[in-house]
Amino acid sequence: MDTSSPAVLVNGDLLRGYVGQRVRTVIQVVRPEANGLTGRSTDEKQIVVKGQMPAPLTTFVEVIGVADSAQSIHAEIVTNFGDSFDTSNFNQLCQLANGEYRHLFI
Amino acid sequence: MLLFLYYSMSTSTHTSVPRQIYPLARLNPYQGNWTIKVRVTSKGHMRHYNNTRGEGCVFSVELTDDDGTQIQAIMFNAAARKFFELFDMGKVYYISGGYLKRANKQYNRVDNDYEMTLNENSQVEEAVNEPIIIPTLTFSFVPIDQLGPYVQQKELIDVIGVVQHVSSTMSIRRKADNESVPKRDITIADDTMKSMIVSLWGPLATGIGSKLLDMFDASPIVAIKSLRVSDFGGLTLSTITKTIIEINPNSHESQKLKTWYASEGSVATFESVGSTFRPGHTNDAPSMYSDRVGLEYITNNPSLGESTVIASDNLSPKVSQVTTMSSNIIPTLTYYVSLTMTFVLQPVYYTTRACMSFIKDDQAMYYRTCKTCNKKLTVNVGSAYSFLICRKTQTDPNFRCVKLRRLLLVAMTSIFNWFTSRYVVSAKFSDASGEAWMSLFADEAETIIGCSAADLDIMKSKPDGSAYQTQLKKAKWVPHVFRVMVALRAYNNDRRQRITVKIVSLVDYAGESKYLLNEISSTQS
Repeated sequence: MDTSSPAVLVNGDLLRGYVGQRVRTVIQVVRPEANGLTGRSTDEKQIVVKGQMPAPLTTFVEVIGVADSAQSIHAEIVTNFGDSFDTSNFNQLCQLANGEYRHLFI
Repeated sequence: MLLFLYYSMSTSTHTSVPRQIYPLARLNPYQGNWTIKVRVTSKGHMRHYNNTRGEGCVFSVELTDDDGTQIQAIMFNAAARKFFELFDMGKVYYISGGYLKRANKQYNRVDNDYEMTLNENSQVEEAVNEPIIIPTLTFSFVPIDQLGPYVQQKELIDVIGVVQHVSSTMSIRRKADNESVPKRDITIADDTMKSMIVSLWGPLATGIGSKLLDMFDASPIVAIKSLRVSDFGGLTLSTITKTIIEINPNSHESQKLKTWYASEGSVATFESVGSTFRPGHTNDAPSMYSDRVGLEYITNNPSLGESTVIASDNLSPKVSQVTTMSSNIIPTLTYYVSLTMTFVLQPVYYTTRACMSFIKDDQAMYYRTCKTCNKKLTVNVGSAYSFLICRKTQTDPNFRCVKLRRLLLVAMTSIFNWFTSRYVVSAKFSDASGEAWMSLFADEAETIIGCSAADLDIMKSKPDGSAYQTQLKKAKWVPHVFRVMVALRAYNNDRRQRITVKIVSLVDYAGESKYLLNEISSTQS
């Protein structure tokens, strides 16, 4: 397992704190685009993803890549996460992973 | 000539020829030709059922003869309909043409090794010259605080108490035959300062039950005879077909209760006996997140499933009762003369998430059962199946090995469909906290192992056991959520904890995550 550049678990809000760093998140696909997609994070923020997409696309995808800005990610790996996903659980996970328990993650 | 006389004697119904009356004590299944003269001392109500063999109705009566011997007579369908109106409490009848078999002690509480079945061809004739004596009901009441020792015992008990609450009628679906039965719960309290729920079933719920509902604000006293004590919901009293309920009886005990209730009972608060036996258990379907514990909690607590009941005897009516689940006793005793301690074993229920980590592949995983009634079959290879083995193989020592018998049995299972196999498995489970051995049966075992007992049997019997081993291996380390029952069983002089899986369900990851997040936030606050 390559641990040289770990990706931080983020949601829409937390993304701004890691611009330029490697992040990972799960978003709901709103609109697929030419070279990526527009999605909605688990805390209802808009996120733009640029890069290679799997085809066909499911409702939820996990994106691992480098954060371009507070609202966009340059994707390295995009994985289909299916059509049902509990967003509130994931959101709480992001908050815990960056809050009290961040020492367990990065 | 003699033959003709005999024939007419046994079939004529209005003859004054003296019959030869058999005492009930002499009746047995091997003697067909008898007539008995008996009084009906108990009559159950007509019960309707619906099972795999169809639907029908049944009722039973308790018959007593001059010597005092009693026997239960049961009638189904046409016979039931024919004789239900004919049999009346207290009347005497001449009965012949019934047949006897060993009493089914599960349903028959009458003290007789045999029970009688009457069919349409049986003869029942009322003895018109006999006085009708309806036996006066004799009660031997058990005070509500002393019900503990009767749990799960065969003995039927009587209770008397003041009605505190009457529920509306509920319709319960009987698991055995999918029939809907009406049920009503009444709460009664007595001067031991305890209250108890009595479940009225069938006609008792709709008949006397609704009468009690109408008059319950007058705090009527009920005396109930022949109640079954079960450990459902902790401790419950249930009526059976022969239960008799008397409202405001004219007895000494009733009077005593009335006086007590008028002076102090009506303003007192009562401790409910049923619920304190098993706190944390409700009668609703348990959710997979209620009573959630880790395996370590169960294994580290050898006294789970044991509760201590301190009961007072009748000399000290002012004692308040104490029941707890653990060995901590919360004293609220005010005054007592003497105490009796009763240890009651009450299984406890928990849910837990764990994976099966180890299963012995050489245990007997299943037993053969009859296809229709699921009773265990004892396979007698020597006699029952030897006819399929020819004379040569019977005598050839090489063929008398267990393996051949097994193969034949497996073949016969599929060819003749004689029986099914039911699981009985013991396996070790692990979770983040620890590990524990648990027992699994039937459907639960099938869910974990992933195939039916019959299929596993086929795999096990193959000379190349790899399919069997693979099946068991695949069953390991798959997380499931279990509803388990923890009980204490006496082994020699020791009490050992036994964990049985009651329900298995797949892990709902979203739900499980929510539960874990809740736990995390509750530890933080």
